[in-house]
Amino acid sequence: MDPATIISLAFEAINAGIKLVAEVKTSGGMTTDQIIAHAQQQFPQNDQLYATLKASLT
Amino acid sequence: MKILSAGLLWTLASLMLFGMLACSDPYKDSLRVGDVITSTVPDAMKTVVDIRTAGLITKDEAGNALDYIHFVDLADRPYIQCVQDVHTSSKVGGLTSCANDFLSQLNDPAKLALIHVSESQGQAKLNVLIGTLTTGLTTLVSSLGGA
Repeated sequence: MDPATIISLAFEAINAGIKLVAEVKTSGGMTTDQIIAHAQQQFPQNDQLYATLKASLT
Repeated sequence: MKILSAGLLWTLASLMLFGMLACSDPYKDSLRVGDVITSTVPDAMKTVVDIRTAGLITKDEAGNALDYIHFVDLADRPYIQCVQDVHTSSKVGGLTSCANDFLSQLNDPAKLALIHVSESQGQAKLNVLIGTLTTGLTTLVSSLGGA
């Protein structure tokens, strides 16, 4: 892997981590009920997406 | 170049993030991590397919990576339930226990074996992807201070 790719991946990783932390830090923007509802809503969608993508691999 | 492996990148990221998360509400922050991971799963799955499409991993490797991400998603559900249960019971140290249990599952060698691929660039990209899913949890455990 060339240095430019490594640096790019490093920044990508750090930015993703920072974004995640920022999301956590702003948790006050959602009520607890909203957080739970959002997570529950995503679960079946994720299952469906997994099944679809797995079946689509070629 | 293997010295700068994806694992090292995550160590770097963790060090930079360590201490950034000040838990104003450990319960909400714990829940939010679970929610963010749930929300990240679709992008992670799609990225695996993109990496496969780019020819960086084989069909079987992509399938295994999807299996791992799905496993993360499945493990996220009891984690969120655990956080809610701890909040109800007010158990001291419970939130940290929930997060550590979740992390232990994510780091299960048998599961991590699913995301080992033969091509180095594909492996690096997968590591970035998986690291994104775990960085929030690692940071959370650090910031909970045993709550």
